Amino acid sequence: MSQLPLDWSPGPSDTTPPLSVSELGSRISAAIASGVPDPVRVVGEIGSFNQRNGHWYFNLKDEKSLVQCVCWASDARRVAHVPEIGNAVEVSGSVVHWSPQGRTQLRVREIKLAGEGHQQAAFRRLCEELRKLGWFAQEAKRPLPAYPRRIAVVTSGAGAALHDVRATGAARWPACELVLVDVPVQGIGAAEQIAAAIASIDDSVEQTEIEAIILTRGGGSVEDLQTFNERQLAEAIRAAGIPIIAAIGHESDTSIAELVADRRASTPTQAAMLLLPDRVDESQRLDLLAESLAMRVARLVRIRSEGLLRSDRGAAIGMRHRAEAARQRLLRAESALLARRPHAVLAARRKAIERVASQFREVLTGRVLTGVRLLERQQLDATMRKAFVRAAAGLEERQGVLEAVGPEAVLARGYSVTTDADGGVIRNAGEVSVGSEIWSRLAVGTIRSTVKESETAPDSTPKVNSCE
Amino acid sequence: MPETPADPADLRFEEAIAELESIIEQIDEGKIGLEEAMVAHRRGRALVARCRSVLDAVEQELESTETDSSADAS
Repeated sequence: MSQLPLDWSPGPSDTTPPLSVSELGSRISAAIASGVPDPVRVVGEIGSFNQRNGHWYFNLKDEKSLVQCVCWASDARRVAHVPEIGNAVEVSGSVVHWSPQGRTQLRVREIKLAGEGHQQAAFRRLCEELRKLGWFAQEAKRPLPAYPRRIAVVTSGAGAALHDVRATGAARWPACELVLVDVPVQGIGAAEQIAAAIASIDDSVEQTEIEAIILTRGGGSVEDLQTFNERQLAEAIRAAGIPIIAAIGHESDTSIAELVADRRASTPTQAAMLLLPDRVDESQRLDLLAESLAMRVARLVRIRSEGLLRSDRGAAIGMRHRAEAARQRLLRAESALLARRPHAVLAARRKAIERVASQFREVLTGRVLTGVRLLERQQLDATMRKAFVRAAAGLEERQGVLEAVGPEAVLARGYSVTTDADGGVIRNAGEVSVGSEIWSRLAVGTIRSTVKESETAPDSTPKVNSCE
Repeated sequence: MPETPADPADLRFEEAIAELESIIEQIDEGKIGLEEAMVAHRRGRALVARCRSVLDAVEQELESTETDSSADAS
């Protein structure tokens, strides 16, 4: 440490009265107050370290100098890591001169281990390790309850985060009871206490009927949020069977606890929103569901009844076809039966009898006719004979008359009959020509002549032509 | 034809029409006497009546079912 810029002129010692110890102490205090920034940030290495009643007494040193430091318990509780001798740290605090003991000290309020880099390195290492173990994997996450009735809020009872969670719960889902599990959310031992609280809740779910945990705290410095990067807490979250939703710090902050938890929320309010349904939304959803259900049931009933109707109609149509087929079969049988009435048999029999009777009649008639014809023939014969006799007598009689008046008698009386070669009687001399042959039948015999000359007499007396 | 024919009223449609068709076949074979033909014909007519009554009952039931169905559908 460089020399303090004391407002003090060395001047000639003889003329300036000496200062009392108290005065010097006051002047040192005044010089510190005016010359040293408050708070002042100092980097160095922990030289020695003692704890008493929660207060930390240590030295901070570098290669050339050393300063005594004290960190009162009230501040020490907020420091994430207990410093160890040899740690490179950056501290922040005020320089005070403690006159009664003549001691100048640095009253430390914040201690950061090797600055941000060290913490970041530790954070990355743990992240990497837990990722390899699969603790961040989505498959490892437990599902959140849909309508939780009781949830534990693990946070500081005095924090704003609790208020946000309660307000959101009351607005969205008042039916869910929020149970506060009051824990320190920063400082030494906080991670251990939070881990113990989580384990305790998880062990007693059967009795408490707590269904989920909201682990949360509001925004803070990187140091404040270190609690949630500790392995001990990550292990407790990982081991719990109960689903845990974590919302640590601001949205830009990411802690190991959030990565291991089943869900991460950006703020306490969002954590409550993720876990608790909204009664207004749910009410609307229920209305929609009820409406949809009613529609579906109505549709189902309609489909079923239509199907029933269809199958009923199908059965009726099938039955109708069968009945129609049966009716056709019956009609055929009935018509066949009609065609085979005994009338037909009777008619056939009658026909047969008729045929026999007819044949009989025919035979009988034939015989009768034959008989009749025979008789008739006999009668005819007799009649004919009589007629013949009569006719013969008449003929003889007529023959006599004929003979008396016939040409024979005339011929006998000396006349002749002249005919031409064809037998035609020649009654006129003009009928013959000179040279033609003529035949003259006499009472006895016939003369053949050749006409030499013919002459037709003026009187009607036939003139015999001269003949050769 | 059986010795003591069953009462047609006790016969199912199939039995009745089968017997009816067998009677027709017997008549067709032509070996049936006039008296037997009379008896067969009388039996046949009774069977026809039985078949017809079964069909009428079926028809009536179908009509009433269809009426019910269309009443349900509306």
